[in-house]
Amino acid sequence: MFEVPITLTNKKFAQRRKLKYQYINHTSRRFEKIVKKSTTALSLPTPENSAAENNEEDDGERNGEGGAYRRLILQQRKRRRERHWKSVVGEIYSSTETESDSQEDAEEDEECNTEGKEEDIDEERKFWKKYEKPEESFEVWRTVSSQNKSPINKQKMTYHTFKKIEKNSLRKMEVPLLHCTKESKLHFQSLSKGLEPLQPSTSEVRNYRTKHIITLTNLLHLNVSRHNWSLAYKIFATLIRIPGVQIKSIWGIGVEILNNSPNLSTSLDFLQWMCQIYSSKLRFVQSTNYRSIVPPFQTGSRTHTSKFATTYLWSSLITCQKSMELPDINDKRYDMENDLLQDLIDRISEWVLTPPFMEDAEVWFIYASCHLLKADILSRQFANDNKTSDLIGLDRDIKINQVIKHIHYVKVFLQTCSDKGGFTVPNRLIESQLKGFESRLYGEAQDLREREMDDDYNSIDDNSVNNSFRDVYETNAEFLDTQLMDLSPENNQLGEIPYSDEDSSE
Amino acid sequence: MSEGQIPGSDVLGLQLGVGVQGASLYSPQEKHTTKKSQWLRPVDDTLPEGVLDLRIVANSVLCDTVIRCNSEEKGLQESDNGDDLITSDIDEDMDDQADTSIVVNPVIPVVPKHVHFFKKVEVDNDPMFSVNCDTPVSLQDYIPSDLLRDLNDTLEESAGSPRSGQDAFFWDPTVANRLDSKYIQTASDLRNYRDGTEIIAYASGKTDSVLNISVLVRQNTLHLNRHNNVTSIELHSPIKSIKIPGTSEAIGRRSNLVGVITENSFQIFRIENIHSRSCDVIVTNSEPLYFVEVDDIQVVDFAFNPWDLQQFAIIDAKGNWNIGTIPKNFNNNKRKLQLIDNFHGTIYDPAELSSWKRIEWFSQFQKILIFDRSKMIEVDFVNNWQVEVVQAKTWSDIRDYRRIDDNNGILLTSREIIIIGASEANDVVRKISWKHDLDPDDTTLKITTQKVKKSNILLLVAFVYSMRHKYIYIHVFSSTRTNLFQSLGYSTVIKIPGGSPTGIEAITTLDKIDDKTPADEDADENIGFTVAFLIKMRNSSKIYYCALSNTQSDEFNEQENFTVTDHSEWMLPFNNTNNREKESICALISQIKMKERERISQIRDLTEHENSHDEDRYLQDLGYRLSMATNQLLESWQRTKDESISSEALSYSKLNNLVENSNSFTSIPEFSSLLDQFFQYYQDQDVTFIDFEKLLHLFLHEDVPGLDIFYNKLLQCWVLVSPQAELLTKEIVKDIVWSLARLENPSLFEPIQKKISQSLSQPYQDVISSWDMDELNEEDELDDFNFDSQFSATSFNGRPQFTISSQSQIPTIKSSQSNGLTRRKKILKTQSQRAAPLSQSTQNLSVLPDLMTPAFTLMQPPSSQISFMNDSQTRNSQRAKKKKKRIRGFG
Repeated sequence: MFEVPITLTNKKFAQRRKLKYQYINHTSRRFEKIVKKSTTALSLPTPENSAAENNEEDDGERNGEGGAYRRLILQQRKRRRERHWKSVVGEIYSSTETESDSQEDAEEDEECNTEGKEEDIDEERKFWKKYEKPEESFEVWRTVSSQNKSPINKQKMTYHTFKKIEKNSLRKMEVPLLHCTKESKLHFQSLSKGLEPLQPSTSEVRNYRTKHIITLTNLLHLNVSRHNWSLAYKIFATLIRIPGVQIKSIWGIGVEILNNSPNLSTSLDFLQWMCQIYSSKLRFVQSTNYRSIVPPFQTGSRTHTSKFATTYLWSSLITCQKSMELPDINDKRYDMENDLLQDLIDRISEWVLTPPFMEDAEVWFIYASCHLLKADILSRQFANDNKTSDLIGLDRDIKINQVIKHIHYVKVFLQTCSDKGGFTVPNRLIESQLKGFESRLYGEAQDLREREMDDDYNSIDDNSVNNSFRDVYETNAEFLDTQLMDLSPENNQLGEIPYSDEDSSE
Repeated sequence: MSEGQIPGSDVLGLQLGVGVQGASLYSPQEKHTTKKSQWLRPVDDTLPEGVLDLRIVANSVLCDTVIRCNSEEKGLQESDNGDDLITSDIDEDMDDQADTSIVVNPVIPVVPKHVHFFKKVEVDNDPMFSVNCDTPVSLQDYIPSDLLRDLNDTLEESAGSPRSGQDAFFWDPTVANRLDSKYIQTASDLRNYRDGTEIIAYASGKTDSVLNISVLVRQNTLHLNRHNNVTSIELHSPIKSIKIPGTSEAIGRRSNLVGVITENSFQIFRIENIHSRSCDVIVTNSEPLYFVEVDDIQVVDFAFNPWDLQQFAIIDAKGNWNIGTIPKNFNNNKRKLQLIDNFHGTIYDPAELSSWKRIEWFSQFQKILIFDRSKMIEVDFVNNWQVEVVQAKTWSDIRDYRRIDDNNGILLTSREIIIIGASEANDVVRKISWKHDLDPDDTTLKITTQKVKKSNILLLVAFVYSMRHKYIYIHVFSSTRTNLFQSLGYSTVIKIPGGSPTGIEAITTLDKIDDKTPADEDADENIGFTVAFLIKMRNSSKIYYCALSNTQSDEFNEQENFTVTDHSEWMLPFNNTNNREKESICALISQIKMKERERISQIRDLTEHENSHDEDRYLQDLGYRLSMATNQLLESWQRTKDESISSEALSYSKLNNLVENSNSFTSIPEFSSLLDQFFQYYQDQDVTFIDFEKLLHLFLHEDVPGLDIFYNKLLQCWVLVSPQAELLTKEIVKDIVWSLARLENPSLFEPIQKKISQSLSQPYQDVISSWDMDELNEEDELDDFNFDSQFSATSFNGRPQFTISSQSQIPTIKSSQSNGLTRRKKILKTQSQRAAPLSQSTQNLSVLPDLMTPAFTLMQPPSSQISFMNDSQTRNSQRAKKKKKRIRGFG
């Protein structure tokens, strides 16, 4: 009933897949032929027709891409063969090859082993090659923009045409079907008639261990949904110790269980461990089939931050904030928690230097949020202490400086975040918050500003999200102390070079 | 705010799952002591815990698609151009009754020559025409398999059950929900500013070819209406999908249409009127849009324009879609559904094998979403563009889509539940998703949603179910007024109790008209809600009503314990019976169950008071009241004697009508002796009662000397069935007695009879008198009958003559028959189906005359045999016509 954290493969499935993709490829080829013939022969040039031609051109491009892939594969094969001969000869092959390439090859080798024959790869690959493999989500999502719009495809698939295509492809399938088991044949015939399998593939599993895993997975999900945490913990612990189980596909459940059970190890530790072990910096290769591992939610790559990494960052940030909210803040504890946040900031500052995080807007946003939190805490302490008038003179100035510095970082990183693109942030809301922090520093008209901020909360209009931060920064600068004016040029530089935080712990 | 305030990816929105944190927004509060959350997270943590601690609080059978509910009215207004393809099923029922009361069945079950028996039948399963592997429609003449089995035991399993092994492994994605329930507003509702009526539409019958529409009533739980009044329409083709359109809130009214896809056509029914008292549903229908006329490809889905009640869209199995218009009025000759030539297109994809397709309107009048398993395409058919918004070729498939409201919809893929909404430019945008962790290979996943409105928040409860198992996966999204969706962060799984272990075929949530919203002001603290839905299990004929609630009240619990949700345990003793018997047992059991539910309180009262009840005195009192009432009745008859003769009204009465409160006793023997005394006394006074022993004989097929023995025999059988058998049996016996026992005064009938027979012309009088003469011997009677039919067929060749001359004679014939013939007929009818028609016919075999009227063709024996089997499949209009001819022949 639930997704099983192992890859179910056996000969039967492989054969069924092969038949299916073979048939699909035949059909597509036949379809293209017939459609092209009909468009060129039968109809006069109309706008619609030309649009359809454009589409075909797109297809052609896609085929071109496919050709590129093929060339790539050929090259790789050649390289591999060379390497093989070199190793036979005894020469150690050159170490100039990047880690990723060898890794890639290893993966492909693996795939070859699992597939057995090369023909298998061909049919399935041929199909998969045509489509983009997304990393972030399970499907390719497009926004409705003018360049994506195409005229409605009005060329009806008539019964006659369809039959023509089907007949031809079925005839081509006759030979491969000869060598199949009766069951696979039936499976294929039903699929080709538009039916869908009702029985789960798990029901055909005869392997004892796999059965065991299936049962455990079902139990795990059921118990999590019933909030039966202690039992779920036991099941999870059992499950991940079985060889072959991919922890990458059930880490979320593990986090949820650890969040809710009174154990020594927390979910944060688990996530950190995940990040250390499974953070991959490899290039995502479009030409492999990835049957066993599905990138979204499960892996990361050089261009894609894995979901457990962002989850780790967000939950540690939220934990920091929560622990600071505890009512009995004496100074010692406060400092400790502050250190916790500082640790996080340090960690992120290291992370954003490395590939997947460097380009990920979300990570930059988390970075900004850390500073936002820090600025809030510092300024709040300031506001609280203001009443008791502890802070005077130099001490006060230093603290003001700190707050302003963090506010500045927030702005810089938010700017980076929006530069990276693809990530929507309620900028106006954050700006108004920052203004609120500043106003705390100077006490005056505080109430007024608070009210203003509340208004902002309720009436923020996201239409104006795109206004630039630099402008805001300039306007804010007028409000600020001269000290800030001193700081600003230096910080502008910091925005470009990777930021290190050594002075903020003062 | 269209985007809401939560930061997230431009294209993908928020991606969540169990244990996955999404992007959040830190929003500091000035006073950090306030309890309000500091974070605006994609997971809504403002809701209290335990919102999803849902329990089943009500679970009852709403209706059974096998049992025919008693319905007397004729639902379909026959339009004048004589479309005899569609007739109300009930009409035929009536016809059957009329038939059987006149025509005895003197035919041999001879298998016609051109029917061959095959050891193995391979039905040509061309998906274009017949895809439903559950119910293959063969191209040969249809003969019920059990008829053949009765004919020749050696042929067992020969022509019967051509089910291949295929259907166990595959399902047909073109079969969508065959069950829908929504509020509708008829024209008169609109005129009178009424809110509308909640109706249910479902398919029934052996091949799911009967469309049933009925009014639902809410009283504590949900019921079919008081009279169990169901309008059934035979469509003569397996129904694939039933939909009642939902309309946009903007146009301020509800639809009154029901759309149906069958295996060969698409058709729309309009509900013209609903009688508020009797719950009669008056339906008109459009002309079916046959697929042959369009493109020859099976239409698999359709949608109605929420902003325009006259527009619909259809899509066929290969992805060709088309917009069409519905005529305003189905009464005149323009009942054809028109397809608009300009607005069509295709999403055909050679790489897509499955014939699952879906079409639905999106956020604007001219925008539709079209789905196949691997694509979601937004089409603006007025401005002529399309965009492939989702391409799910790689790691997931699209499983289902539901429209939530004018702006949002919910998309189920094999891995996620995704809310998609309209952006500012009214284009499709992915908003928030929840990874559901259900088996990605499960092709049968479907989703349905229910909106729960609270004072400041809207909860969107999504049910994900599958045909593979009977668990429902429930996830809740919350939405504030700003169109910002948040997830609840966890989901729950509910198992449907009872039922066969197969899976869920369809769930339909019930929409509510909230008119009492302001009552719950404390909704912030207490988000208690109840969601109700109708559920139909696969391989089960019953539609259950089910309600889930997270409130902690226990009011339903008691009831729950008392009603058995399924009778699998009841069926245990009957495991080795054949299908047909099983069916009748099932029907019987569910009837008993129905009674049980109705009478539950009463029975309980009785069990409590059994001992303390002063039964002797009660029965004495009952007897007294009964005789008093009878005396009065007799007197009144005597008084109105002359009037009744002149008006030819028959005077008889049910005992049940005479006394009230007649059921509060437990001792059957006492009651039996009371009745005996009562009958004895009045028989002396020339009052005739119905012959009880004969009737009881009909029930058990053996001689029953008295009521208490009848009761004991029943109890013997039923004690296996239920722990409460004793009480139940008592109740049923009482029921039988009170509903059957009636009295009449034969002396009053004689003058009427005389008068009527005098009014007849000579030949008829001869018929009548000859009829009365020989009722002793059944064979003679049959001979006579045959003579009659021959005679009538030759001498009177037309009904009109007869009807013009004497319309009022029909009751006379019936009443004269009542002496001998009807009794035989009743036996025939009440004998359960397993009482083999064979024995009946062999008896007649010898008496069949050599001369046959030309009306009896070769094909007739099996078909007329079928008439006793109450089989929806074979009851087609052709046969009805034939029958009508026979009536004519006899008259």
